[in-house]
Amino acid sequence: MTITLKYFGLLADITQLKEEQFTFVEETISVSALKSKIENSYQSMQNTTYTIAVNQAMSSLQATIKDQDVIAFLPPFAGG
Amino acid sequence: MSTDKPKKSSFIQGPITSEFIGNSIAKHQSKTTIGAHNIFLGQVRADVIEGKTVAAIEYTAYEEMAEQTFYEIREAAFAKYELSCLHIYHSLGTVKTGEICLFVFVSAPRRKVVYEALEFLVEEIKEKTAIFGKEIFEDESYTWKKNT
Repeated sequence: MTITLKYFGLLADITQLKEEQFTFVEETISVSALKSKIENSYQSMQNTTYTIAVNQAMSSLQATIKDQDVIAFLPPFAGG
Repeated sequence: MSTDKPKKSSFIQGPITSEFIGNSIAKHQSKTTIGAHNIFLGQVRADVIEGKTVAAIEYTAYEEMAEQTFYEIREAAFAKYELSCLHIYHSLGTVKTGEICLFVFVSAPRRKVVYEALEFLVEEIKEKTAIFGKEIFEDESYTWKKNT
């Protein structure tokens, strides 16, 4: 499966990217497993607070990600 | 996930000007069932963080998700309060201290609901909308803002 990852705010500073694509051999992956993989690639993310949205909806760590999903890593909101 | 599509953009590039706010008020003069408006304006504050003064905030957003959130907040407010109309505008890009970055405008036939609806809207926007703020100091260094 191939998924798109988006990074915002401080997380885009850490990854030096706004967006990237990931391809896995698995057909699905849990949000928590993806989080571990990403934190392995970008270790500074382990020390930050963030939430994860799957296809523009806030997600739990137990949720399942499938092919073509868009996963966004969102630091604390600061609107207003 | 809701399949409803956002109806219009709530984002404005740069600060929200007093001219824009004035024009928004003027546009409601033809809606004569309205008896009360209430307006919230968020202004960029010159916070001092570790001895450095904030000069501006640069706003970014997960725009598609934020527009959907604005839409859902708007629908929730209409379901909860008897409103004639409501408008939400938020800045993207650089807004200097003293300039306006958030404009929320609610209107109703009578005054009581506009106080409650406005507070509901502002709190929901701050809590739920995927907007991020880079606080830029006078020396051009920066830190990422967190809502408290």
